[in-house]
Amino acid sequence: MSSSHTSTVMRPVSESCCIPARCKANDNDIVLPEWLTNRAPYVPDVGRKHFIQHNLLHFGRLLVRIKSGGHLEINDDCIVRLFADVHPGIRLIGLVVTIACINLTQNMLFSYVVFAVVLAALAVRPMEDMVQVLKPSVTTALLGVVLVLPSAMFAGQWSIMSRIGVRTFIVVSITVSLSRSMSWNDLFSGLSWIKCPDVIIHMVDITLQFIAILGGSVIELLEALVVRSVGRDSKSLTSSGNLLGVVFLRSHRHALEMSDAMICRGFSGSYHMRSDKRYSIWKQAIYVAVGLVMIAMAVYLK
Amino acid sequence: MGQFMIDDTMTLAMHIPDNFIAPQFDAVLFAIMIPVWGICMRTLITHTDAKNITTLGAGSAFSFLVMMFNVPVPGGTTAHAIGGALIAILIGPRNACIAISMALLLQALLFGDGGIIAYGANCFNMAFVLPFSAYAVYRIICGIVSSDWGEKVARGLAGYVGVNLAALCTAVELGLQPVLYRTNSGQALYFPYPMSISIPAMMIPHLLVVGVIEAAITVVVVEYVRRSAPEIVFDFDTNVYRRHMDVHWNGNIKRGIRIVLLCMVLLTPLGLLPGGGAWGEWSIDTFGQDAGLSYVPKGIANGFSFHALLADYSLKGLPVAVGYVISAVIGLSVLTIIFRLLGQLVMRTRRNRLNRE
Repeated sequence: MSSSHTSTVMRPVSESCCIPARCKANDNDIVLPEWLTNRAPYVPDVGRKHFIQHNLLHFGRLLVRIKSGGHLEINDDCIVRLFADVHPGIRLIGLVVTIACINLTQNMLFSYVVFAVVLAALAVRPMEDMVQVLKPSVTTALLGVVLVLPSAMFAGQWSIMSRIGVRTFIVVSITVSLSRSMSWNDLFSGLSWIKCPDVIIHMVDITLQFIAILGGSVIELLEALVVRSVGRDSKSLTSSGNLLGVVFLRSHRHALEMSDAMICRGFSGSYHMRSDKRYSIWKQAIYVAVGLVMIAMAVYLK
Repeated sequence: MGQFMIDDTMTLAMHIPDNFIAPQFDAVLFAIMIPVWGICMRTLITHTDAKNITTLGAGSAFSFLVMMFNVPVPGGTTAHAIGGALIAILIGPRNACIAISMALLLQALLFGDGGIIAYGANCFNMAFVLPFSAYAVYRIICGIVSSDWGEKVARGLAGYVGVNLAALCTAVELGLQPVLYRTNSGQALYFPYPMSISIPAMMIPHLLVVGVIEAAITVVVVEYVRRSAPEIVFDFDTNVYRRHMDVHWNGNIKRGIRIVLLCMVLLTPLGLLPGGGAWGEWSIDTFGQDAGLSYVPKGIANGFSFHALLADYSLKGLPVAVGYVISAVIGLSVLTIIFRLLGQLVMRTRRNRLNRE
């Protein structure tokens, strides 16, 4: 049998015909209906996917951090090494005392001294940590300055801007620095050491775990939304609302299942933190001594 | 040389405060600096990497700290070196311009040392005239004498000539004010002393003391860096950095620079020993008495006013020396943070450009 190439010619038929008619000239021709052969160019509008991409990126980063237990990926950090041997509970108390001293002193002298120390510590940190601390600190400080701008302008109290800006910067930067130099387990250990109620530690623990679990769900849903979105979506808000609704329902289901699982495993509601880590007594003593000096300075310079 | 009387309790400073120069005059100098900054920034972005930015930051921090050291000069006054010549020799005059400009900006905004409106004039004198003239002198002498001692002489002369040229520019700018801007009754609107007074007042201390100090620190510091890290020194033959991308900062050099800067921070109170106020940095309340005039020029009395966060490097309620050290720590930390962020930005910009190509 000779191999002959069957030529297919697609020709439109008249609009009045519903059933494609074969061309009488060639029986092998496949004839398509006219509506199928009409060109229908579709150029979708450029959609603004900033919302989805921004959230995907943000959740991704958050998940990486949470799933690593809040541990820092950066090893060579003198500030982290300096405070690594101090018990997390003492560090938490130190943070609260520092914030209290800064806000309870009337004049700015003490704040400027702490400002110098904070800036010096920030200058020697690795780049990633420095940027992650600076972003919220500077943003919050600027926000505070903007908020008091009307009172400064109309009441002539220009010094209040520097007061709010400097103090806000210090408070936010030391808080973020502490969070970036302490893992979640150390945080719970510290909270337990300072006799924080178990129910609060339990809530924080569950929250962190659920952020990891639900964050993964949100990423999957966002990716599904990206895949299904073509062009400009005029109902992005509705889509976002539906997404959040799905996340809420999932979280509710997860919470019920986890609660049952914990009860089955004998969880009684109390947290017993066991830590094999040994903390340096000398470093803790120095830390406490520096804290006491700071309190004395705050009282003296009040 | 004109005869003049200067109060023995006053010091000389190259930082021109606000309202001592007419705003229009400041605007002209600022306009001159804009293309200079543009060219220098373009060189910085295209020819440097993150590690060079770190060197630039160290240079800026060093300049900032050097300017906090006041030294006694003849007449019972004080003045300070700038360190611009050594920065120009080490990292190139364009990068030195950026480094010193950053240090001056920090001084003006945070510490009130030098005016905000007069920022253009201060940068013209200390960030443009000084490093470029010093570098030119260095290159000319190195081209003539090619030995080791010749290079040391070149460094010293570069520092000496550079700082004196900058002082001369400052004196001329101040001295032109009573000539160009006067009231109908002949009173000066801004700085009241003519060039016959401002030039000797500025030049004598700089020629006799400040220039020698600038020359000395230029010779010593450049020698130390050349011995420890010759690869980070600007190569004027090729006009680019001799260092390649794969050469890493030696840990000892980093440590050495940190120790030097830390020692300088702790020693900054020595700059207060000479005592006295700054000539030209007179308050409006006591202007007449300090300047020896019977009136306060209108431009100074009613001009722009800015309250810096840590004015005069001091903190009320703390000893002056402690305030000085804290100001030095804050200034050094802010400069370090700014230049590290700048390095990150430069690297990211270059990476994006390479990806696009």
